[in-house]
Amino acid sequence: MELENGYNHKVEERKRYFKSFGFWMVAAAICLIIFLVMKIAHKEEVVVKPERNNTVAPAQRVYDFADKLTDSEEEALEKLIAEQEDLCQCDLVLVIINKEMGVSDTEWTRNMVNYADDFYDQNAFGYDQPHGDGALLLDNWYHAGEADSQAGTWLSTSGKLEYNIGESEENRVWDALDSGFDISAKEAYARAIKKVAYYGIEEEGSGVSSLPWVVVLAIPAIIAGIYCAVNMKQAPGKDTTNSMTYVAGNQPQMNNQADQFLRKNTTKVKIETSSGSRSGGGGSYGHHTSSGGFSHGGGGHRR
Amino acid sequence: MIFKCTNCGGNAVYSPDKKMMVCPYCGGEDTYKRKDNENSSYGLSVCPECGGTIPVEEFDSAMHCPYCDNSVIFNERISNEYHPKFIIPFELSKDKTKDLIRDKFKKLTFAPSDFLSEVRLDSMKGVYVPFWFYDYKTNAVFEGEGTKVRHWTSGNYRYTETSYYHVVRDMNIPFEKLPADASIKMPDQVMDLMEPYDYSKLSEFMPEYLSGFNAERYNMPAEDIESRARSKMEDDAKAILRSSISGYSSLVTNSQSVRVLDRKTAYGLMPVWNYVYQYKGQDYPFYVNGETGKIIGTAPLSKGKVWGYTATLFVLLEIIAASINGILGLM
Repeated sequence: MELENGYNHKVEERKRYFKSFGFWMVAAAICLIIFLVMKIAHKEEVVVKPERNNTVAPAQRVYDFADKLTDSEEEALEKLIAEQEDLCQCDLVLVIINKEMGVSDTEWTRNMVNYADDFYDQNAFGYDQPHGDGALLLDNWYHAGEADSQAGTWLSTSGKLEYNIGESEENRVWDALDSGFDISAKEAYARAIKKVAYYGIEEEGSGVSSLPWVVVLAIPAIIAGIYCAVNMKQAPGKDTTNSMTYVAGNQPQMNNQADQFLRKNTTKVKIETSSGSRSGGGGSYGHHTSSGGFSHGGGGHRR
Repeated sequence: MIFKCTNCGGNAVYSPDKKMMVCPYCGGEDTYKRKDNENSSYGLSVCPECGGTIPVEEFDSAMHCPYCDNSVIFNERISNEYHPKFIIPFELSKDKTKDLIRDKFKKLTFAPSDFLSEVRLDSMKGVYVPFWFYDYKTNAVFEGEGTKVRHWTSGNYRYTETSYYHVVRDMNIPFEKLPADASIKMPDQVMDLMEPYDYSKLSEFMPEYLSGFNAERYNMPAEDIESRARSKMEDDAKAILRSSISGYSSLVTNSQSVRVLDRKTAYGLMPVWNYVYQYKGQDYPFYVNGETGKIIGTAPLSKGKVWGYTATLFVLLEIIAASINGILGLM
């Protein structure tokens, strides 16, 4: 026993510990219980994925008009798309062309948008219904690698993907595509399709709102670090005097105060006006209605 | 000398709460008489009450007898050249000081468990620290060049006009009772941080104020430590000069001087409560201004508590964050 005049430090320390963390212990217990109850309830739910509801659209998903893929590559991509469609419940279409689309960014964008949207609309793609959930990846190889290249990729989105995929998601699709091109065209398309499908899967409630685990670990670590630093910080004491503390009567006597003007000089500098900036090609195109009257989203990426 | 209660013969001491001599044994107020029969010399003194040998150090002027606990004051160390001109008596009793320390450090989560315990705080000692006080009549002069800058735009041009001024300030600044502690035991930096004392409580010295407390006579003459007060005075004078100059974009000093026209020194005693907490072989001293209650000192940190508390918070927050994340994932 560490009793000193009836003062038991261990008991006091324990009280202090629970006083400091009592609230957080209760909060942690409540959160954990809610999570466990929901987890058990969720396990019991029978997840029924809706069947594809489109008999109008063709079964083909890979259209290689530019002849950039071998038969076996096309077959592999068809298989991959079928698997991804099952996961995200979206139609995923790949169209590869070698077609003049215009030199200027504006013209190129307009032609790519129209081609992609029209192809999707005319074939009535859509997983849940004709012209429904899905995306079309249009890749153009026209003069690729040359000075007057019109090569580039356009992603046309419809239905739920139109709303799930914004500019930042499009950029991730382009990152996936570019990293794949370092290996092969087939790999580039495979990676881009998987990335597009990923945004469809999340919308179905497979954890779209949950944070990455790195963040979940980092936030408590940062808060605990701040708590530790704040509680360790101590200052021995502050200087509470000032220059007038020891001045008798708090009033110095001014004998002479002079602020005499001597001279002045003036300089002038010409104000430079800035010139306008140039705009680049591609970028996100936002929501729009195609010539067929259907709503699409998407964006492009020249190379 | 010691002060004895005329009612019960106990040792009468000065009470900061009652502002008078009080007998802690019978409660008698202002019922005391002085008993002078000490025989003290360097390093040794005989207690006038019990005859025990008190281990007096070179500069001690008051202390408790280790045998009978009477408060003994050494005459020759408060007389003649060691007679203080003034004193600020203790305003804060030991109990009030304990409360102040508890208030200041109660939120310090990582302090060792017994840091604020009654037993530990009870070891706190009240000490009258010797100070030299310096009065200076000074003349401070600043001479320099200031600039004022104005900008405007006309047409496609931006204009900048810089005006130059000759700036002079000549002031008489009287400084009064600039303190510098004259104790080797007390760290200078800490004693500087204890300032300011409230001089309205300055009293004429009486030995009664020392009864119940420890005290020292000055350890060195005023000249030996004057550089500290002078440096403080010069810094303050320059700051006052600068604060009287305003409105300039830049200021270049051509010359600046602080001349002392007249100087006086005085010796006085200031009240300080001293609490030394020992933790893992190291001393953690705390000093409390016995008049204003200003506390100087840092508490030790218990590594076990630092890790334990931080880890607990991390684990609890992690459970909360992971649970919420899991709940969001299921929704």
